[in-house]
Amino acid sequence: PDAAAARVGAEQPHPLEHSWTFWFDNPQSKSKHAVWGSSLRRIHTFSTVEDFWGLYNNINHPSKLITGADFHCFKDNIEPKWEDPVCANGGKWTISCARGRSDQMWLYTLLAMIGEQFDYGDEICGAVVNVRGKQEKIALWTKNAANEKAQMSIGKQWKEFLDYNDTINFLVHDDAKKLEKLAKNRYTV
Amino acid sequence: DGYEATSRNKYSRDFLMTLSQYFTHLPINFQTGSDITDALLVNLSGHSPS
Repeated sequence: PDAAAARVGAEQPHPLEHSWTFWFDNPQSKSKHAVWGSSLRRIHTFSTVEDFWGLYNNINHPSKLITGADFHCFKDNIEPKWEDPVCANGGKWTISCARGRSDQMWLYTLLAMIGEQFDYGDEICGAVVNVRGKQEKIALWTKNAANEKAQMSIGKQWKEFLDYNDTINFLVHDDAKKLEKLAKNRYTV
Repeated sequence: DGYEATSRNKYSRDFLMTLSQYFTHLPINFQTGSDITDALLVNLSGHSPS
């Protein structure tokens, strides 16, 4: 198998279906009164398997990122914001785990997205990991919150890819924006 | 229709994982040196000389 992998490695680059961009929000560069998103920075856009690994192998994984950091991987033409026209009618599935425990789930989420493993992959905007004091949260952002069939499929497949057995919930961005903490989950799987 | 399904560049997790070890350098056009990249990178030695 090693020889086979070596041959594979020596071949031409493996193009991804989409170009993807890593974004990073670094809390150290944020002042107390900064507007949300003002410290969000585009890191790099990649469109091959090779460039993905070149980046991934050199950047800190969630367990090593500083508390408060947000790290995003979104399709290249979509900004990781509610206001982005592609995200505006969307929502997100969220998985939470203890601080320092999300590295493998984050990697598996990225690989499922860039490898086009979701049946409704066109519905996916991207993923984000939020590193906080006591927990790390991974969210998968999707386009059309009203498309129940697509959202349920994505939620179910995501849990399978991550071998995750607890219940996860889907929150509509618009509900979160209007109702904040009172917003109710739209779907559960 | 099957057109879209066959035109996709689909890769399984196992396949992607076999490639991981061969690509240890940052992409050549990666921009380093900002406060953001410094907070994000494991170390800068992985950067390909260019």
